Amino acid sequence: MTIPGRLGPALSVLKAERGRRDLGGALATLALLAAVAAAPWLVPVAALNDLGQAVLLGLFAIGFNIVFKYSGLLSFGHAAFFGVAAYAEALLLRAFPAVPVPLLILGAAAGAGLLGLLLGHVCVRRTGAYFSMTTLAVGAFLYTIAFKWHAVTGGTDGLDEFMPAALVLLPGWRLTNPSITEIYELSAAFLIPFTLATWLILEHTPFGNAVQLVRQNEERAAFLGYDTHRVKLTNYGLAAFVAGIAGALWAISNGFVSTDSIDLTLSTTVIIMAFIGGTAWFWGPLLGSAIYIFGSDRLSAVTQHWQLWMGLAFIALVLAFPRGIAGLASLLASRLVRPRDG
Amino acid sequence: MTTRWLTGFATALLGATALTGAVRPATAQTGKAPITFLAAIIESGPFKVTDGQNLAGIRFAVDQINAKGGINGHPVKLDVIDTELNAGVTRRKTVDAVLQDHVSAIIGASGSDILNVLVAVGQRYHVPVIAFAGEADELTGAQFRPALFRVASNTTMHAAALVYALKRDYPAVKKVFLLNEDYSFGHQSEAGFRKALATLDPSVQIVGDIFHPRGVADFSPYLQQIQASGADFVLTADWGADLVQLLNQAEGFGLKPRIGGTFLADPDILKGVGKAAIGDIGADVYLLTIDSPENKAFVAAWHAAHANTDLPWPTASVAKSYIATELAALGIARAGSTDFNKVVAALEGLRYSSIAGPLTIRACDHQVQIGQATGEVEPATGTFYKFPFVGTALIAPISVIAVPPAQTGNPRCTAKGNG
Repeated sequence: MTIPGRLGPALSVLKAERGRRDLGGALATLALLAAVAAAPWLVPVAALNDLGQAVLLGLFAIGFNIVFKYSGLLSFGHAAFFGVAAYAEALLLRAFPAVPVPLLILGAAAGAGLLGLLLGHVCVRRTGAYFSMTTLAVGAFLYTIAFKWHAVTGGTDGLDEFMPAALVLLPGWRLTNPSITEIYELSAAFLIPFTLATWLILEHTPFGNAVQLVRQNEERAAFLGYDTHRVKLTNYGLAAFVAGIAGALWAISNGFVSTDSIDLTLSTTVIIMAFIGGTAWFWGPLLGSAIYIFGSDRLSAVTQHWQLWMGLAFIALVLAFPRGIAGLASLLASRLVRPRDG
Repeated sequence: MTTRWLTGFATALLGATALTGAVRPATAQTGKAPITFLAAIIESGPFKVTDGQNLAGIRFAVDQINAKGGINGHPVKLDVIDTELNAGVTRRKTVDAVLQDHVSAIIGASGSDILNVLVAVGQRYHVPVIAFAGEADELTGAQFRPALFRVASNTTMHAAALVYALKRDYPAVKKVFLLNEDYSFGHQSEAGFRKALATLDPSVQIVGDIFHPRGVADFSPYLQQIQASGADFVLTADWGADLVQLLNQAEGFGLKPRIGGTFLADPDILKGVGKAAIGDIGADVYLLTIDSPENKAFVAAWHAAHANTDLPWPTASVAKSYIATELAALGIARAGSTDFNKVVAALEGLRYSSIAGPLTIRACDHQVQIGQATGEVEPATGTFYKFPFVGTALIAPISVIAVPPAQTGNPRCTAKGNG
């Protein structure tokens, strides 16, 4: 394609700018994932305990953000998929303790993904507040089932005692009474490849382009021949699957599952985490969950009114840096890298 | 400008927070290393008020232990975590505290699921858990784990104490209605009431039962069903706002039968109800009016320290938490060590005269065996409270309300020679 003479330099500048952003994003992604992978060697066990929970909630928040960032839909019921997978993992471990746990995790997450496709068939037909309200209703419905169906879910007492004496990773490779470090490593072993794959799919494949096109202008996408409902539905299913992996690992990490894993509080907490980290960057929610977990735990140790301070800090953050911590970091980095004008 | 101002504000906030932590009062200086207790408390959300009583009881016990020289000369340091009534959060914070602060005893917690998590952590990291709440039978029964010692009664004992009081105070009652919240605890309580009625007074007929959602604003449909059933009495394990609504609306509705409530003896409930509760009955491990020298001394000491607070007199929650803390200290003192196995061995079978009366920790299931204080809500006399509250405490003996070892579902209790 030939570029008209006067536009050529401008496009070159834009391309260079985009190239810098892509490079910066890739480097930040590598640094973040390297930090996640190296944490067992870098931090004490108590901090690793917190980090393990942050990583799992971060994975869940990434699942939420797949719908929010790429489809422009704000879900108020995403804990439904996290919770369903957590319960499924507990029940699967109880029923099939000799089956390798990665298969059970994938099974529980696939169940959540299928549920996402089923419910998404209704939900993603709506947009804006209507979508949010539909997901809220779906979340409340599944929470009520977990709350009431005592025989299966244990009701408010929850499910425990489902962890086998030895967790089968692969035939012949077992973890007996796994430590915090081993559970963390198992979580990271799932988080890194699955999130990387999801990131690549959404950022660097035709499907990802289609999802973003539908978000930007659904009518135009339809004119271009895309089945916009199917595109949104597939993305919703992908988000449910990612949340499902987090939920299944959550059950293993905690050794119990209760209604806390599926309630509306968790659905709203994950939104806060995503906004703290920054929803514009794929990995922002992972940062946000770590900041939320460490911030709330440390603050609650010094004052009973920690929720007030957290709330104020969140409001201040959203007002001052609407793109979250990741947006702030990106801004600072671009100022450092960009040559000064004049 | 705005960004700069907010950044400054955030920095100041963090600085203030750090300073708050840095200037916390140090524990008593005895030269010996402190022994750390961890209190798992709800410090946020709508259930904060109830656990505020529990924390006050723990703090009072710790202060008294330290004033008497600590545990074998070691001062007691108290760490507090906010459970947020969330099992995941509780697990994370408890593990952190255990790993960072070398906690020697965990004291908690409201909510059977929360207690379950504490016990799982205690068992894993070898820290005894002394429970002031969390009444699910299974925790010391089929799901028994050695780390748990429970001061609170279990659901069956609590229900049996209420039925005992009903039989004593209202011998003419022959028709009972069961009203409970529709979740695990409500269902377990209903089963407890049925079992206790069948055991203690088989002549009483259950004429109806309802499980209602938590947080009901309008009880009138249920009150109509109760009235229509011809019941003479209502037994309920409702608590918090539901119990206040039930008692108030029953008065407005003109409900004929009186009410017996698992949590009805709590002054925080009764102060919101007033005269409507007169004649209703309650039962718990502790009542302010227990007539014993130990309790009178405790009440006097508590009032001297708390006269100008919103907890001028000790409540059941205060007392159970106080006893739980005392037990943790006693176990370590008798073991002469914080070693898990030694403390567990020291606590098993332990007997002592508590503020609620003589108690025994049953060796096979670690369930504290103690008579329950029961009583009727009486008009205010000016002593203690200015509103009607459960006055004279009459003890339902442990021989009547105890779950026999063979019926606990705990394999250690059903084995021959245990209990």
